[in-house]
Amino acid sequence: MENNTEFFSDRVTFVGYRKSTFDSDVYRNALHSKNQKAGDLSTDMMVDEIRLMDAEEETAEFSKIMKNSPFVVTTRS
Amino acid sequence: MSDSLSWRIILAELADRLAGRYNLHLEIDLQILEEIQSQMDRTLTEYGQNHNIAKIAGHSSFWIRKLKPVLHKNTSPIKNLSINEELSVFVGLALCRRFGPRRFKIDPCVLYDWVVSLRTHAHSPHSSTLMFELLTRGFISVNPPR
Repeated sequence: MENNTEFFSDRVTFVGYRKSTFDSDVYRNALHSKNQKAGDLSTDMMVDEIRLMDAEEETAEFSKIMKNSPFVVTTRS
Repeated sequence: MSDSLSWRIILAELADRLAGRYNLHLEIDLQILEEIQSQMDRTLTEYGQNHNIAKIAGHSSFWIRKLKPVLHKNTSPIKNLSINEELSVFVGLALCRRFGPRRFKIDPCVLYDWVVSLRTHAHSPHSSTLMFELLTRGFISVNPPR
């Protein structure tokens, strides 16, 4: 089993073993290319849907509630 | 069917957005993603061919919440202790909104209660599925309103 670290973005990294059935490159490229397919995944509008959900007033309000909840904590004093 | 909808890349995309929102540095464990897929394949078989998007959302949501594939890096200045519960809900919502039969939104306070409940109470794949069934096709408009 081979260790593998792969950056998805500046803030998110995949860790684990290389022999995964999940090819993150294929899926990521497909997700960001309109109307492409990765396996049977139709990526049409998926990113748009996530963006839309992310930009909604309800999501912003929810984030505000979460930030003030006991679940979100700073790790440095 | 569950894998073809690629809940895994939706999870990564949403994790990136939550990381930006809360200023988190996150890791996603590929081995745990494999385990989640394996458990989903097992628990979804009871429906036979009668899958719908709410069932896939419910089972993926449950197993993400149960097996917790997202971890904070040591460098993360902030921790969201309920990151996996929050992601489990948003993955299910993204799947249902993209592939479900109708549009819906959730009150932010109810969404918060849902995340807290996933963090602190007992749930099953079936209870999670029921939530998404209600959101996607459970409400019938009554006219005139009372």
